[in-house]
Amino acid sequence: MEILDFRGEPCPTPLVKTVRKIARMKENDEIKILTDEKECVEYIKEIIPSLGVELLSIDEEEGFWIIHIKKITI
Amino acid sequence: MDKDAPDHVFLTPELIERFSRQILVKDIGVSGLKKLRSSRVVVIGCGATGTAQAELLARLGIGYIRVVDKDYVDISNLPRTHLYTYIDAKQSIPKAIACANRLSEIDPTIHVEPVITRVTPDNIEDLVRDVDLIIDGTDNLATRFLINDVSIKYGIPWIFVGFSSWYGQVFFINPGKGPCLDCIIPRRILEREERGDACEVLGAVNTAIALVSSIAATLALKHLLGILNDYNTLYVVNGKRLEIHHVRIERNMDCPTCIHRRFEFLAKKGSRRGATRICGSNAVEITPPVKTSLNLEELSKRYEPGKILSVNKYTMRIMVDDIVSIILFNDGRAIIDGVNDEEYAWKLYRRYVLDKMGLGG
Repeated sequence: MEILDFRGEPCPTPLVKTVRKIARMKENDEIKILTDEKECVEYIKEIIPSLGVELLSIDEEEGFWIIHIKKITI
Repeated sequence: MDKDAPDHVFLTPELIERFSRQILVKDIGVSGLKKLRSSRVVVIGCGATGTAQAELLARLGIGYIRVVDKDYVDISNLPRTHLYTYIDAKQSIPKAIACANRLSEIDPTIHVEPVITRVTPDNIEDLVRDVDLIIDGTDNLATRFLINDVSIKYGIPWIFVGFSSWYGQVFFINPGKGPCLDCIIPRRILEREERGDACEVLGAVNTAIALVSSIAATLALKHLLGILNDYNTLYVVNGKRLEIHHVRIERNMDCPTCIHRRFEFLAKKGSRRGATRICGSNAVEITPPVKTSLNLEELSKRYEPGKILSVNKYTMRIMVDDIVSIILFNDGRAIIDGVNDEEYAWKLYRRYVLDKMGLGG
């Protein structure tokens, strides 16, 4: 599974890169996104329903979040 | 996240991709984009500055833009007007329609509402009451004083934009927070305009128009983002020397409009019907005694071959002779182009429009 480590990148860059990445994913592909921008976590959560992906989990670590998603439709 | 960001604008992949550069700007971000997306703006007058500002606002992502103009696209508009094409001019498309069509082509996900009308004390309240900001795209002080009245009455900010030749002025008017138009422009200038002394065509350079419009659109952007806090600066632009002067203006503490709340321009209600010379052009506007709704394509069949120069859903251009033509709108209003005499314009309207409609008496 691919891990996209956006830690250190200010919002909205992780959001833009996540949207672009999801557009290129195939069905059942999974990725984990790492970001330390809380604002971007909220935006990624908001946009997920329109991207054909399933949010598997969001885990808060020390100073950053791990968003685990799976592409369900293309 | 910005607490002021509206929550009813939903992010979509296309929205993020379209504005991926703009949201990287620190003062805008995703929350700023949401604010712009939920903003409502009216552009009064779709001429040189109106179309330039409308295009910038549409590309910025303003969610709702109402564009208002009474006129049609003429070939003489093309050198200085954004958005319009040669085809629009050849077909005499109403400016509001041509402007709205182009804005929708730029971004089909925004809502653009064209309104073909002259702005008067009778209709201005309905045109502006539901917006966050009024943009001045007009070419005359009478309409600007009317906008000023309605702005102060309802507490809706507006941006005054004026230009001629290489020069321009821009002023953001926020009711109650800074001067209004009546504080800064003496009414004698308006009276001079109304007497017709200021009706001459002054000329315009499109680069200066772009400069002035860009300043106005920047003020609109900052206001809609909630980061504009200066309501006392008049921006005076010299487009030839490429200078922008900031002139500090104070409120007139005895202003009839913004202090005493006397809305004298808005009070001049009563539909204007009949023939009126159009300031700055060799034309007369005819407003029919009663409102009507015309099927112009059907009506065009009643004219001799060669008399109809163009016809579409909104306008029909009827040739009178080599110099004079009539642009008839589908509400019965007409512009008699190439004529200065109001009585003669009426005669032509009666002969070329009312008689064809079977209303000539």
